[in-house]
Amino acid sequence: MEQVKQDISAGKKILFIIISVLAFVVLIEGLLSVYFYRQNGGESLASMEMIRTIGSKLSNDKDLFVFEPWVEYKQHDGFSSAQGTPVSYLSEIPGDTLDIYFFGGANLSGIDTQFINQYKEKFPRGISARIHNYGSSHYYSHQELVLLANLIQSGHRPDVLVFLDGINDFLYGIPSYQRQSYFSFMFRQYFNSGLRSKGKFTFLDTANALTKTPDLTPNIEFSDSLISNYTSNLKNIRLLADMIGAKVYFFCEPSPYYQSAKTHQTFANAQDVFSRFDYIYPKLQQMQDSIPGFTYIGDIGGQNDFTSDGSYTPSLNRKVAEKILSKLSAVQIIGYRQNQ
Amino acid sequence: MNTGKQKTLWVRFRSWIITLLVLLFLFEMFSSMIFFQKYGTAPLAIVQLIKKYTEKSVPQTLYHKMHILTRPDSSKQASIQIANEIWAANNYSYEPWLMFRVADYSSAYVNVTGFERKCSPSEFINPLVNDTIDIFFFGGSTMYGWNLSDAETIPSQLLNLYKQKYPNGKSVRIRNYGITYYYSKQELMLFSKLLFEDERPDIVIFMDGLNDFYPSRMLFHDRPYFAYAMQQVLDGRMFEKSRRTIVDSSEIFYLDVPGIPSSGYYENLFQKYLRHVKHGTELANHVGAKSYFVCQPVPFFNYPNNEQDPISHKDKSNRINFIYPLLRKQQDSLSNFLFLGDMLQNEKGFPFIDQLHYSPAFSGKIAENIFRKIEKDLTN
Repeated sequence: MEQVKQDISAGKKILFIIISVLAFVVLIEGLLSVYFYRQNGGESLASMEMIRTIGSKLSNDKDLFVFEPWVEYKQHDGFSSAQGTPVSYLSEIPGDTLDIYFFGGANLSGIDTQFINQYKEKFPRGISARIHNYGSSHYYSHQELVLLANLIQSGHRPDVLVFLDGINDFLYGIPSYQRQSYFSFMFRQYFNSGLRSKGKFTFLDTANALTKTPDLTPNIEFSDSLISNYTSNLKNIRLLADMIGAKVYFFCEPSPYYQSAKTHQTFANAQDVFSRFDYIYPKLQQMQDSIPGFTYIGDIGGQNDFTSDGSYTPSLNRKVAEKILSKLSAVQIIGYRQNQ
Repeated sequence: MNTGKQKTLWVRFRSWIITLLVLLFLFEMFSSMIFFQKYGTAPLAIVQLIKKYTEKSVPQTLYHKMHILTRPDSSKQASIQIANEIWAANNYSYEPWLMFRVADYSSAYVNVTGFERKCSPSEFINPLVNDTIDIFFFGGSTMYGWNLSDAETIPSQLLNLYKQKYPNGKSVRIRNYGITYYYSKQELMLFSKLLFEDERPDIVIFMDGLNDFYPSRMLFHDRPYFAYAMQQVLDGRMFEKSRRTIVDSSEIFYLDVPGIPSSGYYENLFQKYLRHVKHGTELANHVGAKSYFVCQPVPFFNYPNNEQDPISHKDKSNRINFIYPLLRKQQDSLSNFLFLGDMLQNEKGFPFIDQLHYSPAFSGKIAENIFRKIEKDLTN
């Protein structure tokens, strides 16, 4: 028996001690993880967290939006083309390349490439241009103003700025009226309650209310405020554009909630939205000449130009790109140089 | 026999149950280590345990003592009241685009409305002169006046200096937009917001350094202090009904970014701050305002008496000791830049009321330096 004991070498003993210590440390770490990490966990049990994590990884809807400082959120880069990634047209003619920044909501997706294609076709030896698309779902003029301020502070110096707005400014009346973002209701709830909450926190989804006219505000008064906020946003965009020496053009976009396009549509607060657009769009058309750089194209969309969810069809993308190109070439921002 | 068989079955069943429970517990334990780890503030739960029991917070009596010590001319009762009111006002509310601000608060010594900390006095009106100069102050908690009363803040003391020296001078109105945790970029965004609301100041003063280079990841990643919370709201769990709380990972802001050599990281911070100074100048010029950028004193730099100071922060910051000398040199090339990083060189008293924030007397000295810099704009 004594001989058997002597057979265990010192190395084995050390290995055994190391393994025992490691196992003990892992056990302690495990017990402490259960105690400490669980306190802030998204679920009561880690196994439930595992199921949820795997489930959300498999889901296609995950991370449709990501947090973005100063503008609060942006569309996830994987959802559409990454925000600001340029679509270029480099002409054979030597010279500077114009950096043109497009701002707007989700409808900008597709217009940027249409614009470049039409430009190449119409002006094969025109000034070189790079289109940077900063469009993102739910963005509206004030949010684009803040985005522009942020880009300028980060050192961006575009030559031309193009803003395509209207739908989100007047559809989501509440954020536009209060100069907040689409997800402000969510951030506010988390920040004011959830951030410091130690117990269960219940989140209230009030997104549907964003399109509604406030109960105590008459429709016309509310719509006038939205117009005033919109034009004030354009004024402030011009202030920044002047500062960096950029040319700026605003387009009031075709809307599925105006004129014939709205027929047969039903959604929450539809009547509020329709009457708002019926009031605001004609007013903006009248104001066309009094707002510098402003072009009204709110009436170029027909009933067949919108998909069932209100997005632009490819044919409407073409029409909008054509209008923008026609305006920019008319004022000789792009196109042929005078000496060409 | 039957009883014996039943007993054996029961023993087997019991051992199965126990084994199953142990396995479930082990599974839960390993799952916790993997899936809950992201919610922790330390990479290991053991580290979190150690931190929990070794972290020291300043006891309330000591906190009151610091207030009493740095206000030799005030009553003990007034100092304690200021200390208590400052803590009561330490709340934040959500603010679109800028993310947060100090929540509205009203009391005898501490008053906050919207983005403004109250100045006392807030204006000097000379009825004999038509011209009124509007001055906006921007900064973090030191400009806000953390641990100070409204009247002890830098803007309030600056206006008093002006009134005393120029009793027949132009009218001056001041606004204190100092907000706890704000850094240079956030202040620029606030300045832009005010301009968008048609505010047109004549002079803007930005005082920075502490929040730009101490919790330096805010400047580096361009993410304000509570960005971690906002990020968690949108990280795929936004529609969940029962998330318990947002994980506070703010302490990471204070660490260098791994994988980047220190000098490269510090140089990057320096360049980013300079860019904000240049852009702030450009923006102010564009709206016809004079702008000044003040680099503030911090206990980490050129403070020989730091070890003897019973209140100030004792850390040695390589980062700030790299960046501040570079900023000092900027005074020669940027006429609107004021480097006050050397102000602590000969300080022997109590320049700090807590580890990082200025005492009433030292705030007065900073106000004096800023006043000297802008004096010509107030008298021309």
